[in-house]
Amino acid sequence: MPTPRKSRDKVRATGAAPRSRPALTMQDLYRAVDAARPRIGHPVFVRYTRLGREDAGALVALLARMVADAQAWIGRPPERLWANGSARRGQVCVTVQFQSGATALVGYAAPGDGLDLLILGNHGSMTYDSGIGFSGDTPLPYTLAEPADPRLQAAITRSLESGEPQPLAPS
Amino acid sequence: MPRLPYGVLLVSGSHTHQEDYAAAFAADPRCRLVAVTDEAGIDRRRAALNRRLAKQLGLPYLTDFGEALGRKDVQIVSICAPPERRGRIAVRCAQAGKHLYLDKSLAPRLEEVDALVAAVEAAGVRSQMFSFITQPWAAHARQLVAEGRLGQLRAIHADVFFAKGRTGTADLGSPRREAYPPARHQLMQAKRELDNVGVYPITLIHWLTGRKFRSVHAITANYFFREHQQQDVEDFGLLSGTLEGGMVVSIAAGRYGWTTHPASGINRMLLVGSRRSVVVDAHRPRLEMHTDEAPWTPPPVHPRDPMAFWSSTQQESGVRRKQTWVPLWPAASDVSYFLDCLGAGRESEMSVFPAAHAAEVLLAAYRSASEGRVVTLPLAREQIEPRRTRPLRPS
Repeated sequence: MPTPRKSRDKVRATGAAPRSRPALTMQDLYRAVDAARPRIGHPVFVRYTRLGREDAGALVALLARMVADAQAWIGRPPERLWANGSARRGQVCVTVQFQSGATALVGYAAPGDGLDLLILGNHGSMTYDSGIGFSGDTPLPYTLAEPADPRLQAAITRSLESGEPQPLAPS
Repeated sequence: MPRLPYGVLLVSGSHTHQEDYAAAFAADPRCRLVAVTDEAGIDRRRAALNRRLAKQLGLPYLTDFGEALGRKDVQIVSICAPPERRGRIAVRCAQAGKHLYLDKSLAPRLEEVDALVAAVEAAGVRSQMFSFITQPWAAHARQLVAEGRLGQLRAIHADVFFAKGRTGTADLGSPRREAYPPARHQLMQAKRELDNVGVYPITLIHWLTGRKFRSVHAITANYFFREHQQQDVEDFGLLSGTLEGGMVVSIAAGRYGWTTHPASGINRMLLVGSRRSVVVDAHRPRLEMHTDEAPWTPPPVHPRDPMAFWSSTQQESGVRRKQTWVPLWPAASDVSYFLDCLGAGRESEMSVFPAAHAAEVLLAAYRSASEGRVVTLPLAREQIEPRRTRPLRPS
């Protein structure tokens, strides 16, 4: 029988339930990215893909939130976007051009679970592998306190309907 | 069918990928290198570099291109001339009845691409453009798709970047303005990286799905290197679009610097299926090594090849191999696959026909990046006047 570690004994002594794995959230990812971001120089490109099982009706709002995430990582407002694909079919990729000239590919694909993130800076890169198709890493739950930006939602919807890039007026 | 070994003629020499292709042909017992040659009228630097490779390989350098093509002991021509000359050279080689092994991408102008396809068809020769489809991880991806393990393929998202060059020197305050048609593809200091690197995921996606691109929206940028900016060529490109049947695809490609990746650069595809999705990564599975060896550091900048395009200049700069990741997939020889195809009398899966589609996708991408709109394929063929080839000096 393995010898119990001291820390585990201590937890038991306080009556708290031992947890084999702490639950991570998107807030943990945001915090880690924000802390690491200065090391890659100026962020110039974000590849941000979410695999999920969302209803088609919820996709545009989800993508708008993801574009807002990319905006936060790039640090400049988006200037133009093009949404390619079909919310009904669960496959959408949004190309975003920011005012600084930085770009992003923000995508949603179904079915699946996971999040894939690559941020390129002019001095380096950071990647987050959620374990899509690799190991048993638990996907992060996509929980955000902020509602989706209606301006971004409207632009994504217009682009999906028209098949053309949409300018974004300064907010 | 020629008797083995195949005689191989090399068009263009040092400071091109011919350095690698010639070595691969030379290493294969089915081949014998015959000579190095090139068009008449090339500049002195190119002529000197051609002679240099010929000397290194112990081959003659033939200045009469037509005469070299007429040799009976040549069955294959390996063509690494710069993109602007590649198309017309390949046409002449096909017309001479030679099989073509071609550097990527195929050619930068649609009329050249179409002329090459027509010439290969008319001559009945075999052809292959260098690509990643011969690599084991690509074969693994295709097997996943073919066996239906992902269900029906619904989307592909691919990223390919080369981790070479000293990054962080581009002026980010000057966003790129793309021009169409693109000019100046390959210079000493820089290449158009959407073309140079983006051709890999484009050909992979077409090969994996068997579907052609139907629409493209693209952006090019200068994010990393002053060299690219100064030569007005992009170091970054992204592309989103649809394939036949509406499949969504996206690609990010470029060159992002020695220190941006623990190995040769990101090279992965997210394959989204109706049943499940997987990432196919050229660097996975792998061993990861951490030792007390001296840490890897970037080489000094080579004055004649600052982006470390070529094997010879990398050697001269003393580039050390990165060894943190040890790949498990064995590297495969693209040349060997071509020779297999020739031996079996079958078409390569990266012949000029799919390669021509990739060239058209790249042109559509540059047009999209220039005009800021979605471009549909196939591109319109303008009324083409009888082909005017650039006059060559009498040889």
